[in-house]
Amino acid sequence: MSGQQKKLQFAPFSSFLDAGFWHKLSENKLNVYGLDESPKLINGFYYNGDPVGLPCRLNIEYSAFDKVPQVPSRYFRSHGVLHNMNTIDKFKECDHKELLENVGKKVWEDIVSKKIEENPSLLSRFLLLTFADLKKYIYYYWFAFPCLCMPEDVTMVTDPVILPERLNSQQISELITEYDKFQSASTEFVGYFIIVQSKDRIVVDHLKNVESYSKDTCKIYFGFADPCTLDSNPGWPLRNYLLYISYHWGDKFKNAEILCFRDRSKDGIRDISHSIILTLNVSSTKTLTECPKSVGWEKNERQKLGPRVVNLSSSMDPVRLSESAV
Amino acid sequence: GVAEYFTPVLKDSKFKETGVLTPEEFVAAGDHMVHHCPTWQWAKGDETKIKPYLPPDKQFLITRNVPCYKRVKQVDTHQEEQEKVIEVDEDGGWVDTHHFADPNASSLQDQVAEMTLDSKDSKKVSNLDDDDDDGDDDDGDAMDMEDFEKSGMLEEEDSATLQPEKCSRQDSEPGGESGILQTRTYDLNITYDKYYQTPRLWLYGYDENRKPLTVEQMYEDFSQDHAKKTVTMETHPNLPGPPMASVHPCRHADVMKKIIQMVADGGGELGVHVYLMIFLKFVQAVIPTIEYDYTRHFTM
Repeated sequence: MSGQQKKLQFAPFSSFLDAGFWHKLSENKLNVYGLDESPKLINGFYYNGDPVGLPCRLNIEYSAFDKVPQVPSRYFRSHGVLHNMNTIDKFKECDHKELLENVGKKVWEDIVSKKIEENPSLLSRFLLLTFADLKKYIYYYWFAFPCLCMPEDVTMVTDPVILPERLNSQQISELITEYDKFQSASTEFVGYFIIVQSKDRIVVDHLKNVESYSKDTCKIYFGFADPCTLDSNPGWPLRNYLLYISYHWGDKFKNAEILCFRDRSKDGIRDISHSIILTLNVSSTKTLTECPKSVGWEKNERQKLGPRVVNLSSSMDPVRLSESAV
Repeated sequence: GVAEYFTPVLKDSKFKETGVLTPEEFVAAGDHMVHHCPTWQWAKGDETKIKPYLPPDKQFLITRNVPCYKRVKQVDTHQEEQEKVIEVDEDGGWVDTHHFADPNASSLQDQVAEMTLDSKDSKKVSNLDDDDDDGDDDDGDAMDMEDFEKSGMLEEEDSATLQPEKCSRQDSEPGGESGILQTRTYDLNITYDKYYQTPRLWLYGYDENRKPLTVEQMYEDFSQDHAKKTVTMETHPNLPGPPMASVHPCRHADVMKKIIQMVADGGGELGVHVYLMIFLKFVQAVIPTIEYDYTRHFTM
C-alpha cells in the first residue's frame, strides 16, 4: 500500500425470510391488526458462521412476532419494526426517508446515552415495510437496516489481516475459550464486546468495562460478531458500532483496532482463524450534536433501491393446494 | 395423522433390534450432534405445536442457510451398474447410488466406517449461471416492481456501502479472496417422527434471490432415484406455514438396523448417540448437493 489509505466499505445485510413469517403475518393481519397500521415490534437475528461466499444474512422467521424472542444459540439479535400497510398505494407512498431517520435517531440516542453498553444488540436494528395481498397470497416487502453515516470517511491504516497474523495458535485457542466463557455467562449471545490482550493472557469482556483496562499495558480490540464472509470487508453491524467507538473512544485511541469475529464449524472442527482485524483511522465524533444521516434500504434483485415481492400462492392458496394434492 | 395419536411413546430402547429411537434417545442423539456440529441447533418451533413427549426447547433440530451450489443433474455421475439395492421390496427399496463406486469400499460397512476419513470435499462451482432474468417474470399477478423503485435516495451516494455486484463474479475457492456467490440455500430440520419412531428430515429451499423454491425446483436438488418416491410434501409438525418437503421416514429404521448389523458383524458397536450423524450420512444419497455439516471423528 502506498500513502493512499483505503476507504473502509461494509457488506450490507441481505434479508432472509421464511414462509412461516408470511403465514404468521397473514394470521396477525386477519386476527389481530385488522386495519391498524401502527408500527409493531418484531425480532430478527444474524449469524457469524456461514460458509465462505454466502451473503451477510439477517433472518426473520415465524418466531419474529414472539413476545419473548427466540434467538437461536450462537445467533445475535436484531430489533425490528414492522410497518404493515393496508393498501398497495400506501406501501408505495411511504416516506422512506422519515421511516429510516426515526430508527436512526433511536440508535443515535442509545449511543449518546451509552444505553447500548447495557444492551449492545440495540446497535442492530431493522425496518420492514410490508403490504400483504391476502387474496392472492402475494407479499410486497422492503427491508432497511438503518445505519448512521460517519461524518468523515473511515480509512484503513493497513490492509485487513486475518487473525493468525496477530495471534499465535495458543492465543487463538485461549480466545475461543474466553469467548465461550463470556457468551455462556449471558442470557443470549452478545454481538459486541472487547478483547483485551495483555502480556500473559486474553480476556473477552463487556463494552462497559473498557475503562477498567489500561491502554498502556493491554491491547484492546473492539470485537463484534461479523456475519460477513469476505476477506477484505466487514459486515454491516460494524457501522453503528463505529459511531459508538468514535463518539466515546475516538479521542482516547489513536487508531481503533477492530476484531471482526467469525466463528465457523465444519466436520466437527471449530475455526475462528478467518476472523479479520482492521486497523482504522477513526476521528472523534464527540463534538457531534446532531444525529448523523441514515442509510440502509435494501436493494432488490436488480440492485436497485426498491421493494421485493414474493408470491406464495402455490404453497399457501388452499384452492391451488387442493388441486396439487394427491 | 390419526396413527400418531395411538402409537404409544417408546419407553424402552429397541434401537439395536429394530433401528428405531425413543424420544429420549432422539434428544440424546440430538444433544450429541449439536455439541459436535454447532451449525445444527435445537429449536422450539411454534408454541401451539409443542409435542409433550419432547422437551419444549428441544422439539426439533435445525440448520439454516445451507448452500446448494449445483443441481443434481449437473453432478450426476449416476451409473446403473454402481447401484445396489440395499433393501429389496416392491417399492424398489433404498438405493445406495454409489455403492460400487470405490473398489476399496465395497461394503456399506466400509463406507460407514470411512465417515471419519471422508472430508466431504466440496467441489464448489464459482461461476454459476445466475444470469437468468426469469425470476421476476414468475410472479404472475404481482405488479411491475420497477414502478416501485426509487432514485435520489441517500443510499445511492453512500460510498461506504460495498456494492455486491462488484465482486459477485469473482472466482471463489475456499480460503482464497472471496466474493458473494449467488447460490440456492436450504433450511434443514430434523423432527422426531412418532409413528415411525425415527428422525425425519425436512427441507425448505430458497433461490439465488432468496425467494422460496417451488416443489418442482426443489426436485432438482433431490437424487432422481428418490425424488417423488421418497420425498413428499407434508405439514411440518412444529412449524406454521405451507407444507414442506420431507424425506419419508418409512425406510429409515430398516436402513439403520442394517447399518447396526453390519457394524456388529465387523466387531464394532454403534452407540445410539451417533444415530443422527449416521442418519445424515445416509440421507445424503437423497440430497447429494446440499452441503450440510454432519461429519466428525467418532469410533464405532
